[in-house]
Amino acid sequence: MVTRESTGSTHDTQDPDVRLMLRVRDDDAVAFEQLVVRYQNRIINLMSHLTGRSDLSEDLSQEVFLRVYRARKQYKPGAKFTTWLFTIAGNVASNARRSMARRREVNLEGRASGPLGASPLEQMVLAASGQMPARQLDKTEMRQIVQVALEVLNERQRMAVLLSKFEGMCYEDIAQVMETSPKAIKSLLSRARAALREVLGPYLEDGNRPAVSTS
Amino acid sequence: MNDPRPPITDPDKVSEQITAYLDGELSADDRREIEDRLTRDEQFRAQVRGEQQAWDLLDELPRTQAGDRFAATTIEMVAVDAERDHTPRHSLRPRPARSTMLFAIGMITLFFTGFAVVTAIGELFDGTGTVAEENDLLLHLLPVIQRSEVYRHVDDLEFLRQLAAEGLFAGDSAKVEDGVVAQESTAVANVDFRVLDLEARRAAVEDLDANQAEALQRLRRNFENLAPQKQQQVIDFHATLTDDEDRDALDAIAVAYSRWLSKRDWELRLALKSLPPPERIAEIRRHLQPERQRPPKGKRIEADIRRLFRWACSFAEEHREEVLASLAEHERRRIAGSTRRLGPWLLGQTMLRHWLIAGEPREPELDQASFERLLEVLSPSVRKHVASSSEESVERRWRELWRALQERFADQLPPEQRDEFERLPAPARWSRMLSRANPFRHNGGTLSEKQLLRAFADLPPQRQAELEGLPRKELLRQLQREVRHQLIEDPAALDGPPRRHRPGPRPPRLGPPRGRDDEFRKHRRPPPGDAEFDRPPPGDDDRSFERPRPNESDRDDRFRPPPPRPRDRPSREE
Repeated sequence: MVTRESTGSTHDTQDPDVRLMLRVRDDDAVAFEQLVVRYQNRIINLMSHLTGRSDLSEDLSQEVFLRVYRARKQYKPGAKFTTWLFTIAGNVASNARRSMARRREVNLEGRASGPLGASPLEQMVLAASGQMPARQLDKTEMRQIVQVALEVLNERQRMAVLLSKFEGMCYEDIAQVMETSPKAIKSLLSRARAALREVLGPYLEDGNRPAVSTS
Repeated sequence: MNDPRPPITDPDKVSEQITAYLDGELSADDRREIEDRLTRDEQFRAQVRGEQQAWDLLDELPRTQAGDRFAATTIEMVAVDAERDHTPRHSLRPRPARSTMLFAIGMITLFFTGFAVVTAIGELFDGTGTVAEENDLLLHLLPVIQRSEVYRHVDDLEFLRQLAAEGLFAGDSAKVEDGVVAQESTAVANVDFRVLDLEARRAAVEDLDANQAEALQRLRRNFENLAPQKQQQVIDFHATLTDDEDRDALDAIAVAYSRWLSKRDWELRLALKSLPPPERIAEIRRHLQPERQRPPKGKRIEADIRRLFRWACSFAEEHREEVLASLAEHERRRIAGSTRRLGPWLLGQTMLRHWLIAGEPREPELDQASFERLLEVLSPSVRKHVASSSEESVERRWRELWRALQERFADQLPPEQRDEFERLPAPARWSRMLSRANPFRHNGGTLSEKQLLRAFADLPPQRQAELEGLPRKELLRQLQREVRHQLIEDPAALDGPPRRHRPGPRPPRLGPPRGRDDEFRKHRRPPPGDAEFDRPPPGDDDRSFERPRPNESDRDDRFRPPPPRPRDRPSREE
């Protein structure tokens, strides 16, 4: 059996991001800028999918980077840099979702038609209720369907899926980010995949638009 | 031999095993078990296939790109935060009531979420005034918000006066478009809220298009990120500046200084901000001097050099046989041995070299029509040095052209290099000129990674997909070749004005590939298909399952596709 090295010194010497972050810790502005440029798209996309609000993703991502900066002095290269970064991102997304949920309780009348029109979920409600004409699903609709499928997942499932799918992280790393065990991640991802299959099944089988409950 | 294990029958456990199998997280034994079942159980195979296809569909999720100024504004935000950390708690200015500031910030936020929303949740503000009053307050703040980027760098009228007295940035003000906002990307620069009354501001805001609204939102966010004291300073400074009789001149200097400062690195900006005005000005002067002594970049002459080279390649290709006949045997061999793409360049370069040694065009003969075509592509300032009369011999006009190019090139060199350049023989001078006009010269003749990434984003999707699958070294090699060819073929891509001033669709940005080429792209997979599942999985003797992962250091993260699953990803339990 191969034992995996996970010492801080290994990450220090091998992970360029850890080296960058150590420079950030020493107040190297250039290194920080490099980190931002290196991760901005990944974080923005993660925030966008985690919160379901692409319009807020840049703001939230800036918050992530700001937190990275503020926490720089506490940074210790004990793990991959990405696990540390995505932990922060997950916390920011979680706070944002809670905050949005609170606001939604107060007022969400205006959300039905945001600057980009009705949300995919709302469109899906329309579709399911037969108010949209049945037609061949095009690329945009397919995207919307997938987006809806993602929204069906709970917060933790979504986080695990995004880290596994788009960040290529192994269970152990995802577990570190989400502060749980690899076994729990395996189970979480399994349920997430099952939920995805359930929502996307109709589309995969015969190209039909899935009817999704939006409750 | 391994003892046979009882098959897993619990549906949840089976599902977990399938997930772990597809994620490459199973031990060798468990994987073999799954693969064995795949070969004999059609229903199981369908379940695995369905799960994988649903997973693959996630590739269709929309991708969000960072805006052009995302990194810059993030750095700014952090700089402000850092600055706040260093700001003494005992501010010299009276601290505004926190409730007032929160109210103002809240109003700003509400404003930008739209009047409709403000109206809808107006009842939340019982006791703080009517919605109309709140909106009015917000509209009052608009000129401040619009100029907050400038005021963040310049918040002291006395400092501005000293800059004016020292003659710093005064001459630069004309270069600032409209003198409204020093933010590069601002789309609201053509609206000066200062000169509008509240109603006109309201109308102007309602008329903003999406880009302008986004630019204004960004300014708002930046303003919000300022410390409360700083926000109050900005508001106060705006009022003071607006009332000053030298308002326009000082304002232009503020904008020019802000723009200059925004292009300096973060550390210098922070250092300057921490200095009192006299020392700050001395420091600014110290930084400005070398910048102003630097010779102009001379992009246009470099463009002319490239155009001449392109023309020469094309002309030589048209007269290929004659050119080849005029060359020495070793030169012909070199050209014949070069690649299909490199061949024409080498032919043109060799022909030009012979012309320069001879002092005039020879073999093939340069005709008037071809020479006119060359003049057409050169810049007017070079053209005017060449005798306009077609009565003059082509040879003479060519010599004039060559002299004009050399002189203009030499003019932009630092004095110590100019002398050396002028002492070189003509072919060496041309080589030097071509080398400097070479867009790749900054990196020892190769494209920088930034250039490569930018060029990668410009490639057709199919080509991008091909390149993505390559090991890093091969990817970079092919990309270098591809882009060099692309740039020589289309030097306009380099010769035009900076991209942000060009009409038409926005260019791809520097930095890691985005959009279709963004970070998600590296995870792109072939569309879901049945092939993987419709063929029987290989047996244990098929070593393709054991194929090691490519060497991490040999691949570029930004181009790397995801670790293939499940086949190529070794189990971590192994």
